[in-house]
Amino acid sequence: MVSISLKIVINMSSRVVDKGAFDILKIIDEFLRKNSDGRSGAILIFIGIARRKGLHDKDVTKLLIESYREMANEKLREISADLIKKYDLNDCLIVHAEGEFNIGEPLVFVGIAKQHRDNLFDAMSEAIVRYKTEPPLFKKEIYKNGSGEWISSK
Amino acid sequence: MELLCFIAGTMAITVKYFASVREYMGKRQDTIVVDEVKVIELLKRLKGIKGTLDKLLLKNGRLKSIYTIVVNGRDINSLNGLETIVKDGDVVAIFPPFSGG
Repeated sequence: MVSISLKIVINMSSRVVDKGAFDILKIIDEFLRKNSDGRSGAILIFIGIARRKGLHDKDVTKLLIESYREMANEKLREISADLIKKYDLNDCLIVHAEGEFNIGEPLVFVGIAKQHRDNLFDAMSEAIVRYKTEPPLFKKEIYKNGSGEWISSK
Repeated sequence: MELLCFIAGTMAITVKYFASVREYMGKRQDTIVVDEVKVIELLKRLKGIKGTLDKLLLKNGRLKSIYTIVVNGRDINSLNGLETIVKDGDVVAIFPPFSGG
């Protein structure tokens, strides 16, 4: 008799959403609820915020985010799946918002859950680097004088 | 009528522009009706408000490293580069550097 152990992985919804559908408190709540079955003893959450100081220390008034939605969704799900496998996570959710953002507004959520806390910060660092550089997401800083610049994360 | 629309919808190559490339072209996408064409020819043919795409994307006949071209979701670097042939129904997307928030 061969015994097969299957790990149940929750990873269906890393995605890009319109700003209007990006309710950060609701996402946090849903992530915590989804991972409250007792399998995870540690949850780490990262929230990316529109920052005032931009490229070359310029004063940013707004951020524009756009994406190639189909490809970005596929890549975000691939990143989540990779990290779940590499770090033995129970869950990895990346939700990125798209649209126009005022300074101080949240625009990205990353949540990871694991049985124990070991390597959790490494997993989060990798998630952040990868979501910034691998999916077709584009960020433009709009400055006080009305000019703007598209930013490269590489 | 529906059949004609269906045929018209598939007999074309769609080229999508993003971020700074979209601004250079002054539009989000083009639809080109040809049987097949190499990517390099496509870039020379597609014109926006600031010029043809090859002027923006190429240097000495090569794709500048900051730009990415994908055909049906696959980077042309993993296909045949600028010599990659695109056909009816294909979707080409042209990206400047990526940057998540």
